[in-house]
Amino acid sequence: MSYWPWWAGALALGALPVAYWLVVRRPFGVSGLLGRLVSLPDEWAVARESGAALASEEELDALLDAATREQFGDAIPAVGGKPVGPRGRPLGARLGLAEAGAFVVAMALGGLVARLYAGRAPGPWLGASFERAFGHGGGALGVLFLGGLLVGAGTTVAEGCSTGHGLTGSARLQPGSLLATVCFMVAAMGVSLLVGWRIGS
Amino acid sequence: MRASWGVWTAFYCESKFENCARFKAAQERRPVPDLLLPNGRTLRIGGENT
Repeated sequence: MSYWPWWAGALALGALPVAYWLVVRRPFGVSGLLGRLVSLPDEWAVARESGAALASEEELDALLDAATREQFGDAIPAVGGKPVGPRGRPLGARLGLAEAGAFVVAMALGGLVARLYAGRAPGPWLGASFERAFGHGGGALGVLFLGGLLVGAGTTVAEGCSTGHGLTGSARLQPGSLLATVCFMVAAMGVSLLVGWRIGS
Repeated sequence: MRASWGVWTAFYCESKFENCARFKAAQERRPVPDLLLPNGRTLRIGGENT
């Protein structure tokens, strides 16, 4: 079994958020993309209800101009015209179903390719250490399911995952992301030590 | 997108974003309607804004 060199993985992980920003113009985060897939039906329902899905660009422009004058008066200051992020940089449009879905499928395929490259058969198991600790029956599946629940709950509470906080947020020196990254790294190391201790005993 | 949108972003995103209805909805994990304005009103196609 062989792994990719560590530096190749580091370069790929470092390049991904940068490339994502250059192409999509939005901060990169896997849990955000997954959450987007989950929330799309709700967004579509709201769009149908408000009529947004049926409106033309001209209709929306006219409605927004009227609402803007109503809110701010006729003396509208001359400012830029695109939605912006927290630091004033223009943001791109949010990803739709096809784009977010393509990313999730590609992520699974990438994992499959890496697994095959490392000489391991496709499957849900995480390797020899995992099997020594939890076996490979229903109990192991239950552990994976519980782990998935914890990851989902954790990323929801922290509003981001290891990519959103660890890669994107930390690279942007966001204090919340730096703190979140320290917390989940410490927790991950602690759990790994516990599992290692369980295997050894 | 629309020129007027810049006014809203200047007054909400870049200053009092904690008052923004879109920000609040996202914080409360509710879906953020495309036509929800930062002041809490919703643009209505073919009707009165609410």
